[in-house]
Amino acid sequence: MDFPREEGSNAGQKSMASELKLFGASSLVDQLDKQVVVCLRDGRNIVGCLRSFDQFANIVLEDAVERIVVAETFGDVPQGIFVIRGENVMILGEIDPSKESLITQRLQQVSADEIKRALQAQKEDKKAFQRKEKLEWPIQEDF
Amino acid sequence: MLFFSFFKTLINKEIEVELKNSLTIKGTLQSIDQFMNLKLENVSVADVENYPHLLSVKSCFVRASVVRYVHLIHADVDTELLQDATRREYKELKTRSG
Repeated sequence: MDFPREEGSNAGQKSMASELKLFGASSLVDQLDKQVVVCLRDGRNIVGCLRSFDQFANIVLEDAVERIVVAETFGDVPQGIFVIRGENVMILGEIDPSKESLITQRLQQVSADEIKRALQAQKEDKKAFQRKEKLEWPIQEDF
Repeated sequence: MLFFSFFKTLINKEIEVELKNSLTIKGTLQSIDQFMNLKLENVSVADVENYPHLLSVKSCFVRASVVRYVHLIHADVDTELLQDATRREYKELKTRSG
């Protein structure tokens, strides 16, 4: 498939070309078609096949899954095609298939439903802990 | 463009990048662009306990906007040269703006 390109004057094309050349320095072309893990600013991790990117690091991932880690377990929640706005990207790491075993050695893989439940339980634990802290130290409320 | 040129001299050197969420990544600088987006090779994450899912990453792209610090090895940096380059850049800027 060929996407239509914006028509521009010669000068415009030239500056575009030099821009591309500059961006080429850290271009993600090498990562296209590879499995990548993208860490987002909100702490989420998305794993998928890199299909597209641009100079803002806007990213399209195919067959994306959200990889959730809770304590000693991890699980993948399917998300389909994922388009990520560049500003939310922290790091984009290319996954080395030969190193994937390092994760499964350390963590136990569980199903999507299970990991969602585990995450929910962890959140509630945290909330309960905060409530408890508030009860034990009510004086802090006055400050 | 001074910092861009400066970082270009550090390509293939070992650097340590600290992100705004305090995650520290060590690796060999592979490339840099004008926004100072970084690409690192042979990546290792300091805090593996909290980021076990990054164990399988071999090379990574770090978006410039999330970088807090870059730690360099002193031997890799010629501070005198950098200082001279800064003076030169400033001079050029002044002559250009008139």
